[in-house]
Amino acid sequence: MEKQGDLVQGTLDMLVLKALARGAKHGYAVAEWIHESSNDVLHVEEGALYPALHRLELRGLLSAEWGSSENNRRAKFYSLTAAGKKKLMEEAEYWRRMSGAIARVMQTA
Amino acid sequence: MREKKLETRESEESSLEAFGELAMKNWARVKALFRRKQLEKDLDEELAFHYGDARGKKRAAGVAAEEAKHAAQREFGNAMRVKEICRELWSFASLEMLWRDLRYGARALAKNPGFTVVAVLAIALGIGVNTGIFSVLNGVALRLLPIPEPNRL
Repeated sequence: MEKQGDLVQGTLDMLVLKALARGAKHGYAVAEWIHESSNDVLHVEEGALYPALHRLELRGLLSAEWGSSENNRRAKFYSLTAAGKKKLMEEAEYWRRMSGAIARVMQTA
Repeated sequence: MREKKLETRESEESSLEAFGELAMKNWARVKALFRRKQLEKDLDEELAFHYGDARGKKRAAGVAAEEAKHAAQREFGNAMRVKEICRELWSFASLEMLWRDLRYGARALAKNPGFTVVAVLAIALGIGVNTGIFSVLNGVALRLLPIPEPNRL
């Protein structure tokens, strides 16, 4: 059985891109943002988060830079590249279509 | 149904784009080869920061000391796993594994010279006998005689 708060498969990349849409964040802030924006429903484990961040960086969708955090410690900040912005738009559009279609199917009596 | 949907989506993406991404990925990996130490340090620091923040938040929420200790141990195990996965991402994992296997094979052979000699001889004999028989057969039976219409002979 799926655990409560597990992500639909394949959506983590999209959520990470979305989390960074409004500017650079470090890994912990990305996880927090997703957690909070989902009204505490979604929980991203670091075991999934960092591999996803690194994979997206490797694919050229994110760029990473070291900077200092709110509490003045060195942290790795990720931000969207042009390719990342484009990808986010595509993913969002695809998600909108899919979730709408699934909702319609589930609403049929 | 899902499969089909994914397929059509894949074909919408131009193959050129996919190629560009692959090239970029591998180029990033090549560059990573020359700064392994730095990457390792970055990874350590990145995760340490994450757990530092996570701990700070838990402490603020008032987690008991005993539970905090267990959480820290859990996190340590997780960190090892996370690092492993990330390290693999930044390297040519399958190529490196192949290279390690080859080296292991070579070491095993060097350690058992008797076995190695027997194996090499067996293979040599096999190839030799095969080649020998084939050349004889080729000369005697397979090649046609060097004259026109040999089947009328």
